[in-house]
Amino acid sequence: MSPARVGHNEVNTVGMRNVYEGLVDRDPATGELIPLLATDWERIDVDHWRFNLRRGVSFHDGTAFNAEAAATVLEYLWNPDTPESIIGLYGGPPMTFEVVSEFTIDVRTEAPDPLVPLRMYFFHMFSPTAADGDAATNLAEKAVGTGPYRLVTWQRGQHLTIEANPDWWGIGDPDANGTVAYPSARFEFRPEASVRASMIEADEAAFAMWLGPEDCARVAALPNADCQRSAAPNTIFIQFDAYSDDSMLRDVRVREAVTLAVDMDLLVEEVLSGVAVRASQIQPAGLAGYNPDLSPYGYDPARARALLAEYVASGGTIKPVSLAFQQDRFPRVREFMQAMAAMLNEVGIETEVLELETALFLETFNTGTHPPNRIKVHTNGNNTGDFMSSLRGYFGRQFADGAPRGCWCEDQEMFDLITEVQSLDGQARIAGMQRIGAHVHENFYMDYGGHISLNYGVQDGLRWDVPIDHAFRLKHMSVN
Amino acid sequence: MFVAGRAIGDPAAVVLGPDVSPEAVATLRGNLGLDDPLLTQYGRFVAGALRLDFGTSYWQGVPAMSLVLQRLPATAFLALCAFFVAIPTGVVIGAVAARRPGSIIDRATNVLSLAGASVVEFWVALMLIFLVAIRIDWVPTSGFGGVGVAGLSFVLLPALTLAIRPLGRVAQVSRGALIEELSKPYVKMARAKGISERRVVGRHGLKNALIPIITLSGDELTSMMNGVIILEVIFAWPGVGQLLVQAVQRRDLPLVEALVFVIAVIVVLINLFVDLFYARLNPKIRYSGGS
Repeated sequence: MSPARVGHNEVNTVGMRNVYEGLVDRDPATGELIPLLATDWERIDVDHWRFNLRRGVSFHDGTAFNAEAAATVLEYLWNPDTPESIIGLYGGPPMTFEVVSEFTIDVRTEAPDPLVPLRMYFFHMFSPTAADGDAATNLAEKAVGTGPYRLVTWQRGQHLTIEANPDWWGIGDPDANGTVAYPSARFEFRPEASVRASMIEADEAAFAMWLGPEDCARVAALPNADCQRSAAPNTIFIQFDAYSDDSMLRDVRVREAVTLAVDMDLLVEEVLSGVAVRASQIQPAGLAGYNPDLSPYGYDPARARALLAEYVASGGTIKPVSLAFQQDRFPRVREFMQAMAAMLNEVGIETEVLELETALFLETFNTGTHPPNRIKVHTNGNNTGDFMSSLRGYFGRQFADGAPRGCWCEDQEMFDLITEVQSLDGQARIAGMQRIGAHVHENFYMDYGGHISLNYGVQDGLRWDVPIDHAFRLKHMSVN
Repeated sequence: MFVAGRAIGDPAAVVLGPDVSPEAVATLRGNLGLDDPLLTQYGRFVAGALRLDFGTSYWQGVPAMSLVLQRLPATAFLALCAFFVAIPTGVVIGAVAARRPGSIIDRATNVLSLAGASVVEFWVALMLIFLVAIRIDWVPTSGFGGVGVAGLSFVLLPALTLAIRPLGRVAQVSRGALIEELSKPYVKMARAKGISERRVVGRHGLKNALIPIITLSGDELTSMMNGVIILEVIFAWPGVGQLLVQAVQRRDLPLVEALVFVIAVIVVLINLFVDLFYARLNPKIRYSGGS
């Protein structure tokens, strides 16, 4: 229930974007930031933003929404000492929040931060009175937002019910970007995708999230339902251990050889059919930093062998690699990894496939504690929709202050590029990120399995177009 | 329990997900007390366990023991429904087969019970959903309707799935035990005295064959705790099995400790009950100091 989780975690907080709203939203078709509880915003200085708030908004408990309430929520969620803090998830410099007038709030950052409006998309406003007392416990169990629906019942791990909020500010207001077409909705939690598909088939549910490709085909074949498939911002990417001292993957020729040895087009087309679409970079089209000039790497096993021979001739030794992946990270991940290992074995790189349960994978991913010569296959959620955040999380040793995760640790040019671009905004930032993307592409040979497609089972009586952020908002649904 | 909890690894490394800075992980580790020496953590664990207080769930943000106790009735309901389907049915099937060893009924029972004892529950669950919930449309595909009569339509599929394996094993053991009993002289004597076959099997043979069946039933009830883990996930049954999977996936240390504690207590209680039941069935068994 926690509003801190709503921004990034649709799994645990499904449906809660109907209850909570942020200052800023995304256009469902373009992903562009649009006003929600803030009517507009401006950058007054490089480290100073001003947000004008919507008038006439109240929380579900009747508390008025104003600058005071917004500042309280923002301070709570951005404070690293509170259990609900989201600062670790979204990074950025320390921020302070200042009430200017009843409906105006200023945000100041310790360093220039062009992403402040974007960060506001992840802050969800809750009634300050709901956090009275033991705030963490109260916020985990209550959900008091300003949204078009309010929480009625919640049974942990079973279901939650929401009903239309008759006092919602957005009724009849075009700024709300949606309407309330349903008086209530019940969300049933079903961990198994095949069971979710069965619920559509048995007329137990009108909508089912995240079906596997086989279940999607089953639902699409039904006379009264369809399966909608849409590429998500999540990208499958290959990460090399280029930071362990005795890792052969530090050598760019070996990394290029690994990339050229894998027929990724074939893997995506055959193994990940219906699961992902081929990617040339970590950002999908439409997100800031996407570089349209980049093409996927090719498949050239002869060149891969030649590069490995060149590496050996220069004194290097080809060592066995472990190909690690997180259990059930995406559909058919096991088959994908086995095929990839077979291709690497084919060019002379002895490859072992290592399937790790979620917690263990994340631990090795976060800490970098594993034997050398590991290749990890992971997915990047592109949560913020900004390439710089992906860089921070997955590419940057120096950038992420010591976490040995990246493969550009000794690349001064890359470091300088990031330093230059991180404080830019607007078109300059986008162009800078595209340059970084090109640099990564040309120098690191990190391949991308594809942008993951998410499948939704939808009964014919319901109309819904998958929004670009894949967040489930009832206000975007209507009766067909 | 303390060791089992620590065996799942460092919670701080996963609680915040993959996109966090090392500082955030370190801060969380400190906040959770995971930086403390193991002895300190153990002391805290023992002190909490004595009060049945295992701390607050990292994932849910509420006391771990209360979460477990909320989920326990659902699992108990499912396990008992499966148990009362599997054991009596298994015994009856075994008894029918044992009356005519080598007959077609006996052979068919043998094959079916062996198949039942060998099936993969995951597959059976999906097949039952497809056939019973979708094709015939008798019961819901999944979900929980509460503990009691209102929940019977929901419990049918998971209970049947959970019952199939113990049913097969109980049928086989019942058959073997009963065949052995029915070949003993006292049974021949009973038949010679003209006692009806139903009475011979039911009152004499079966009663004496019950000891291995009771032993097996106790084991089956215990092992259902394993079976419920996967079935609760498939059927979205809000019990301790599903909670255990979620707790381990999230390295929710307090929740794992509370769950292991409760499951251990249940296993001990089942074994105690089985031991006490032995004495009731067989007067020769006594647990007191007498000879």
